[in-house]
Amino acid sequence: MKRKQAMRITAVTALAAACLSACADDSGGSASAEDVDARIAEINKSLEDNLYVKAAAESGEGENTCPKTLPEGETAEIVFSIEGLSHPFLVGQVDKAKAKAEEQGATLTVISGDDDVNKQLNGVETALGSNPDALMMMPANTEGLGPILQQYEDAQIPYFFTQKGLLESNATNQVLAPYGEEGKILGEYVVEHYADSEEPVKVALISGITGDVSSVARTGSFERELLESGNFEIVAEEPGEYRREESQTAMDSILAAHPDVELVFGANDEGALGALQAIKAAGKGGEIDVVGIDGQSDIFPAIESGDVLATVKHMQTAPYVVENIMKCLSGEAVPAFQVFPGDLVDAAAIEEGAEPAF
Amino acid sequence: MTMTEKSELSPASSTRRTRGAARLSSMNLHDFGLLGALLLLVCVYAIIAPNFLTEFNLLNVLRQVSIVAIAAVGMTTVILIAGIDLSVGSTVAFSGTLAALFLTERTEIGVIAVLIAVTIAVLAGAGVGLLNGLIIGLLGVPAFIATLATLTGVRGFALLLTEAKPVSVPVGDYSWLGTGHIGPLPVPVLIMALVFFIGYVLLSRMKIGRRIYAVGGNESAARLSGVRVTRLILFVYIFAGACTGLAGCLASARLSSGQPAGFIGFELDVIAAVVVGGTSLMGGRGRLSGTFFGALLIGVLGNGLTLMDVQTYWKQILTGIVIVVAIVVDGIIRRRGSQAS
Amino acid sequence: MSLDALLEGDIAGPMASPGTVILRGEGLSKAFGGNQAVDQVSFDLRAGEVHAFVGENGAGKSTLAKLIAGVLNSDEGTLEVDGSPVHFPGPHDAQAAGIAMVHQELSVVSSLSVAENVLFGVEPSRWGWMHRQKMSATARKYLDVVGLHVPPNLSTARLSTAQRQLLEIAHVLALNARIIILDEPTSSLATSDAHHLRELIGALREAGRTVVLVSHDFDEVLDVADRVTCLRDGQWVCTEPAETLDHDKLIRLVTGRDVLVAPREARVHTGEAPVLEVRELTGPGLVHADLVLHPGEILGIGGLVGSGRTELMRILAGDVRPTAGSMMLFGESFAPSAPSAALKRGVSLVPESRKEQGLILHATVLQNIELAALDSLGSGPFFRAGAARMLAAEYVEKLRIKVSSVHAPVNSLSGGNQQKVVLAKVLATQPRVLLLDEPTKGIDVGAKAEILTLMRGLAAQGISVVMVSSVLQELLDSCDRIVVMRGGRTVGDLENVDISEEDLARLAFAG
Repeated sequence: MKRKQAMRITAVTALAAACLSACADDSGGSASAEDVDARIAEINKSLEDNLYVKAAAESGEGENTCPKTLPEGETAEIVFSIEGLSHPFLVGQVDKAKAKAEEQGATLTVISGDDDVNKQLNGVETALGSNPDALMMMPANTEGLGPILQQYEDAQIPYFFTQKGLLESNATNQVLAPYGEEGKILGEYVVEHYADSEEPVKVALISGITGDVSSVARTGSFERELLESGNFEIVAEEPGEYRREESQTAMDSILAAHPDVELVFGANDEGALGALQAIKAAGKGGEIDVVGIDGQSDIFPAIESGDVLATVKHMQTAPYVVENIMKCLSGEAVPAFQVFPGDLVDAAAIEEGAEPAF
Repeated sequence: MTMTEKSELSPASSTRRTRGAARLSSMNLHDFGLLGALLLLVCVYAIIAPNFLTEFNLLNVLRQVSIVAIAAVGMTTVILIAGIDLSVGSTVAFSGTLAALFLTERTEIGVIAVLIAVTIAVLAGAGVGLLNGLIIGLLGVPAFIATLATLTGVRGFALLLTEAKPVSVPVGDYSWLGTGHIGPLPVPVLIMALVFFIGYVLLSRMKIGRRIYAVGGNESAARLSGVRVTRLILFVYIFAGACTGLAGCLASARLSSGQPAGFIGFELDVIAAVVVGGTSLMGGRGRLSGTFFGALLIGVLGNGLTLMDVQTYWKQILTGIVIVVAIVVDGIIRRRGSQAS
Repeated sequence: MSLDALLEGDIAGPMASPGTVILRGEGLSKAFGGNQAVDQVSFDLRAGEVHAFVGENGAGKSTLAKLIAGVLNSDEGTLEVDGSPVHFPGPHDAQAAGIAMVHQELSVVSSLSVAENVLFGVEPSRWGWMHRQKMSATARKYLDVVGLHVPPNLSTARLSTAQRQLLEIAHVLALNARIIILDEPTSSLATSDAHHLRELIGALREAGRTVVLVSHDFDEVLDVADRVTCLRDGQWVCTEPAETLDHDKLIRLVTGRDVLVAPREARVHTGEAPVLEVRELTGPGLVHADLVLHPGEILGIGGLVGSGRTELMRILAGDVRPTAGSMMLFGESFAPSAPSAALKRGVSLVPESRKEQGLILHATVLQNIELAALDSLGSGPFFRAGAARMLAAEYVEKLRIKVSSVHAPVNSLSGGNQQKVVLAKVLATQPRVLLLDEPTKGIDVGAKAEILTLMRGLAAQGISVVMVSSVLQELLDSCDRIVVMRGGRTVGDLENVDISEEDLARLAFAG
């Protein structure tokens, strides 16, 4: 809660800055071509070291093997350390991993970090005492995992990452969230959707948590796709903290500064739904297009009713990792990184029977 | 009649007996209860929790408990003066982050740099403590509100310094503080022992310790008895802040990084340890040994449940139940002990 | 009186002819923590008698009453009712056997109406529902008997303490018990109500009821009681017919001593260099105060509550800062910024409210006594527990504090002993000026005398004492000089020679 408050202060400050720069932009007319090129270069630079963008680029490459293979007839014991269980996505992650483990004949022990880095580390340490065959992790954040992962290496226990991971690590396999790909897929869809527009389309971005790698990947990839097509003008970008309420507040101020905005991007569906609430509250329902990412169940009715244009399904990757662990423990090589982009969902896709991701 | 007078005036023999009894009844009973609960828990886990009773796991529990326990030493002094410190989680994040910021750009981290980093963290914690103390002692704001404010403010400051990103520290001597061993014992455990020793000397062997209990027991009586209450409040919050700063330092060493957004709600773990340890939230009553056992009890409880693959939701529920049971049992013991009036 | 009619109804338990023993206690003992409150006490109660329990605070008389009423359970000993042994796990069981108690700490339920309280537990009902009209009527009868003239449907929360006391007595009458225990029933009543209560007790006796009266008030005891049982330190001292006793005998039985405090010869100190000189002092609640205190002098301060006496004491003790005026201590300027500064200069205060400002109630005797003298207990910042224990033991002995050990919690002590602990704490700092604000408030005769004697002894040793008291006689008996305050001013400064209570009272009231 406190973090939220602190973020809000940051957001307010950013908002003030954004207003100032936006006003300046308005008076100077639309952005010049050089500005656009500079912005693209900036985005490229920010995505250069982005784990998810890089992982996507290297997806399927490289081959790692496990230090030990599982003796014939023994059940594999996998420890799954997850950052917390306080979100349906995370619960889905565990359920799917369990189902996959059962199918593959492995036991899966789930240890929740209860949304705290320190507690998650405690759990991973405790689990080392029971000497499992493999560790699968979805870390709250990846800083500070070095020493404990080293202990697992020393004990010859292979470790794997699901969803979130580490660029520089000796993880056997990481199946990461396709954040960059999702932004790109959505960007391509939007570019095609507005292909007939004569004037540049005015776009507002509601990003996720400021500085968060996933948010940078999604928002940056989406923005780059739009800018490269030359048919769009980004009029505002505000952080929405991946939360509905904060995103609604962000959209309120965007609408105040740029009443002529035509399309809003939410870095997740919560952000998109928050923006939609603001739009409806401003009496502009139906005038402004909204897109989001995640494919959560709430957004499906909004897509069907035409309030939201499209989303991209964000899928749990734990089952893939369980599969890889079993492969690896039986002696097969597995790729270092894997990224599986989700499907784009629009009204047509729902008619054809698309299901929410979580 | 004469008999009565005699027993009043020369109570030497009976004094010794009843003194022992009084001590047992009012002071140690809680510790015995806690220790009993702890032993019971250990026995049960030894039987049903796989890999519980191994050296590796037991040292692990001690190490994991040590960060909470170190902050709990400071919290015990605060609660003894009938205060509360809600800013602990933010201060742990803030002090650890500052230490990490000092170390992050270095390619080589030697002993001197580590010592400086520790000092920075402890001073940062003490600084937050000073701020708490000033708001409470000088401005007269209730501790709950004052530390609620610093909880928010300090967190914001930590996030501002780092733009909410974790600050990583190159693995080296610094992380030894959090993950290393001296002999068989983990370093944080040794540091925890040192902090408890300091706390013990402070509370039981120094005059200020007596005054801490007095202020918590009855502030105006203590003031009229010559205790400089404002100074004492300042001292206690600074001491508690320093403990918290040290805890933050160890936490960042363990994680090899400063986590400006981490440790949210950590203060509640610390308060729980102190309260389960038998220190009264009304002030004036409690002991450090209780705090240690309280922290250990909560830590062991969670550890065993993790080993038994109990769902995290149940862990949280059980921890809640343990806190309530501890308080209720303590109340019963206390009423038995001094059924006066 | 309608009492006879009222009491004609069925009483709980059989009715015995007057004079027969209906309840007997043998070897009853009860301890709290390490404190033996009642120690091997045996007694009996007869039908149709008023039996008084007397003793100092902490002598065990209330505890004994509670053992009879089932409020407490004895550690040892037996109770017999009508010759057969009984055991009362709770008050309800005692009530079933016809024994009911009116408590010192009132136990009326303030959220209920007066009538509901009177008939609590014996509500008239019709078809299982409470019968409101009948309830009011019945309650009114009992209220009339005890002289509480309030509407039965009034909320109890609106009654004064004295009215609640009467209400509780009405409740016990409604329970129709044959043994009625009254614990300090008149302590909160005005004189007229107290008088009415004595009549009521007489009427109860006439109706064949047994009344146990726990009381401090010897006049009351001598007036209404048939027999008196005297307790000291939890032990039985004697049971005597009231007609063989008088006031002095009672004091001797209760305290175990003959003398209490004889008036002390006042001494004239003027001419000696003053210890403390206060000139034109102004502060919160204080308009103008002048004061001179000499070595070894006992200076009394009289006046009404709110006359500025407590405010003056707090300024002298450094607890409150004056806004104007001067204070000189031993010829040097004295402006303490806090009580700690005053203590360093040798000025210490025994505050007015010992529970709120004097003691840490749940802490031990040791922890309380050592507190103010901490600076002298050990070197530098370190504390020597051994030195503290010796100090506490020394003062426990010196002040004859009745306590099983210095590790006993202060809240297990009687009021007088608690006050002595405060005094011990203050004396341990070796003050040169001792400020006493109502030092004898709320403590029993014996302890009062001890504290006054102690104060005189200190003055004889050269310590200067300032004593505030609402009891003018106390000032006249002990002080060398008396300053009277009114409306925040010192309005009189009298040598204690040939002055009377009237003289002081005239100054204290605007006159």
